[in-house]
Amino acid sequence: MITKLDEKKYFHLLADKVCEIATRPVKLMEVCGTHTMAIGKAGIRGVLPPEVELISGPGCPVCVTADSDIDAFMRLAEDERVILATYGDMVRVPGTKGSLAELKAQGADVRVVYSALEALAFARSETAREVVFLGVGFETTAPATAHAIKTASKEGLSNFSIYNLHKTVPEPLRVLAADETTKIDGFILPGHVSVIIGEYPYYFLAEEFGAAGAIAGFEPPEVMATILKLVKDINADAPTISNLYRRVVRPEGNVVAQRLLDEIFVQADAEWRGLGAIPDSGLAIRQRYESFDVARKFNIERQSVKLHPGCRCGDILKGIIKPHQCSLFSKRCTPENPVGPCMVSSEGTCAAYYLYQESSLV
Amino acid sequence: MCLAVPSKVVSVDEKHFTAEVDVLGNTKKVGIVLIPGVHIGDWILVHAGQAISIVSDEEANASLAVWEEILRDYQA
Ligand code: SF4
Repeated sequence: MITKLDEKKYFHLLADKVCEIATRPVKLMEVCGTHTMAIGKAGIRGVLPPEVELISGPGCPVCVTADSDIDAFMRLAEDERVILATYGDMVRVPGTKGSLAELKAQGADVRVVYSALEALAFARSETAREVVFLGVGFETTAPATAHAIKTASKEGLSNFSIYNLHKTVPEPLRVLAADETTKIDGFILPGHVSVIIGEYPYYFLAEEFGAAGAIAGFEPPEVMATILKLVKDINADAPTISNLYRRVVRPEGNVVAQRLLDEIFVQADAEWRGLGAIPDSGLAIRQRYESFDVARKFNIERQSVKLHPGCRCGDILKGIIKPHQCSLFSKRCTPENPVGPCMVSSEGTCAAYYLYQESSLV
Repeated sequence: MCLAVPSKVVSVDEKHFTAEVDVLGNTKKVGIVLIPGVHIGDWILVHAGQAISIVSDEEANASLAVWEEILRDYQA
């Protein structure tokens, strides 16, 4: 067993080594919002040498939800026929007419759930209403939604459907790797997405773009070991994709989950806040299960809107600016009164910077 | 939202594809359809009510070795 003492010791040994070998500027992106939080909490930016810059990527599913989707599910929640169930983070996201939490206070039936199966249970017991699960998240979360759809189909439930926002991680990484303005040398790859998809879907980063990548765990020394590995690979001009989270990530990923995803979903274009439409970056519900797709069932239209002109969430998700460069950060926009989704989610970059006061460090 | 929590399996209900896990002293029911072959006593990673991975014992203890290796051979 690794003790807390070991962790502390190795964290510092690894950090010292990063300082020793970092001789030229490198730009690393932590893709996943949970890593952004872990990095903030462990104060990692404060101990890294100035040559190593960490930028936060688009890996917070709430933050990348398009404005048009936010408004569309808000309208859905106003529909009296509907019970809208979703994860806690989604209810505070501000839309044109406030957030789901505000709608709930005004009487809309919005329920916070921990899993898609809880929403399914509502559908079983409240048959006169349509239970819509707001399915949001990457490959980590999508299997749970897929399982709920499959179960509902088996049971023949006709009052259960999904507002489907599921997205996949490799495609936006392709967009970011190809972007000349951000020029990322290495990627700290998301540990829990990788549990599902494995190592192979990232190989293109090294092969096509010459970027290094390493799948990372979430403990401070695990993140630091990943940073060291990336800096080493970049120094040696030998970009590879490595897996430093082997205790839960197998090279091939979770094949059962992949099969389930493939059975229920098909890759489709998706709209990302800040990044725009990205080909094949979404998981659309297959035709066979289309009766569980609320967009088809209720004929939902997404109208193009721009919710908060001052919010620069999009530039933050691309790593172009840091939160303190947004003029609203920590003034108009705080976790208590968020203006944009990057401040709402507990994994949002703006929320992480606010919480750990990193604006003073960068 | 993407945080997955390691939990220890205390019982398995194969018929309903569920297991009871212990998370810091609290018992919780989770789905196990994504991890066939799970046993009582295994550590699993749970996300949004579904277990997504069985934690590998061998690899769990290998972290120190991995860190040592990265530290040692830094010119790679
Ligand atoms: S600080 Fe608030 S307004 Fe500014 S980019 Fe972040 S979420 Fe948007």
